[in-house]
Amino acid sequence: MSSGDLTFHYVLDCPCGTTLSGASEDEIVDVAFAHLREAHPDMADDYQREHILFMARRLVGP
Amino acid sequence: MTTGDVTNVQWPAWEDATFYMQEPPEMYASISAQRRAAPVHWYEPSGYPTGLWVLSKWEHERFVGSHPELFSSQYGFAIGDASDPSTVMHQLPEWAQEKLREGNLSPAETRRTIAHGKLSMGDPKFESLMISDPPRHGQIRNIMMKALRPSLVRSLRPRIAEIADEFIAELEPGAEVDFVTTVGRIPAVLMTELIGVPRETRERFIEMASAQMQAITIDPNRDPAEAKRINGLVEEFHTYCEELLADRRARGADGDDLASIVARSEYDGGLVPQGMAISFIHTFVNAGETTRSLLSFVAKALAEHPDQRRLLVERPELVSNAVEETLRCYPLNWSGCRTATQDTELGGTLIKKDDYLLMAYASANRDEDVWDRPDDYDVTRSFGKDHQSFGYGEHSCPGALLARTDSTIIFERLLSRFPDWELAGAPQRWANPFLQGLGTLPVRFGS
Repeated sequence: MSSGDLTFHYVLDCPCGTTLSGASEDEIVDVAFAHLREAHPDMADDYQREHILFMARRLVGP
Repeated sequence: MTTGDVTNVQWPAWEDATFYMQEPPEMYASISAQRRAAPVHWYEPSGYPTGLWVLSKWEHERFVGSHPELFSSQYGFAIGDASDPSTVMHQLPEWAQEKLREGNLSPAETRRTIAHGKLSMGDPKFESLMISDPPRHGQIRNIMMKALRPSLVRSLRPRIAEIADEFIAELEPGAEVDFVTTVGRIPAVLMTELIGVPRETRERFIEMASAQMQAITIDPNRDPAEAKRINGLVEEFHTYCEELLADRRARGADGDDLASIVARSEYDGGLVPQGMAISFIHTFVNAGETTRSLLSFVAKALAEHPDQRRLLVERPELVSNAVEETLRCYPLNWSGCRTATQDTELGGTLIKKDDYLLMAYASANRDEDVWDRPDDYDVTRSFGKDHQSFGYGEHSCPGALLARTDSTIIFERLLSRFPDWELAGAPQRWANPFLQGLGTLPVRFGS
């Protein structure tokens, strides 16, 4: 996702300490749910898309 | 200081508070020289009984943070924890002094006693996230993360903005103010609300909490009178936390404040033990105090780089990026430490079991293999890789989300009200070999 001359991406630090990233809102949500299912299956139902997007940081990225 | 580099730049004295009081270009030239010449370096701090490994590269620090099974946090987490015990006894509680006087402790056990002692607020049953390893660490951290859950932080956004606006409304254009004790107080005020500290005791609570932050740093050079003052406030803080938790439990602990959440949390089939419960309050407090430092460095950097500040006014969507860039340039911990649990190779160097390692965050965050123009402050910097300032892995800062949310909202509000500010005097930096912070930051806001 770009804004002006900059490209942004989404970075999310899972509370377990793993850093996740995605190029778009949809991608970071997908990546985060995949991580939840794999690493924290007991918590996968606790999170919704809006929670993940709140936790994600929109940063200038590669 | 040691030398050993062909440029004749002196290498860092990582244990020495005065090293960090140099002008930043000189200090970072020293750090950079060591990183380039000896990225995994055996260092013997002045007056310390044993040496330690200094890791200067991002990739090595990230490896250590990712492998808690190889690198333990139980045996110290800061450089001062490896001090000669006789030089830091006066900063520790009686129970830790007695244990150290008994002798016969290995270097690792000595560090563990010092680290545990300084955190414990006098309570030998104190149990902290900072000095625990998996799987126990994960169990403790889960309780903490349920308290500081993302949905709570998300729900706080309007309140953070409201408090920020109240503080900003009191700033007088053209007048000199100390940023640290004005806007910088917002996170601590918010945290006292979250914990559930009564309004009439919040100022005293913040004072005690600040002392507890200082007690985390063991420094043989600390003035004994200052150490005594800090120890007194820390004991008061511990008693206050005990009473706060007892009050919540007496009332059923059914509130939404963090003290109630901690008071009703369960561990090992029962309520969270008192020592662990107090450590949670301690961690919440740390989150508020370190965010004060973060805010202060953002304000300082934007005063020193007006072009970057103007860019944020034009493009507020970059404020969160500016917070990350500030964390990269001004890590709130200069370093963190671990102990090897087995022989391991790092960067071609054999690290032996029980060796102590220092991860120099101030170096990794300027590693030229990761960061383009590492010494430039650039709010448009690309963060394809993360800085080390909140650590990485299981021991990454549990309050990071709240700190980032606080900081972003506060600077969005501040920049919309005051597009201009400048330094009104020299900032006073902490003389501290573990934590980076500002004692004062005189600024003058434009109209």
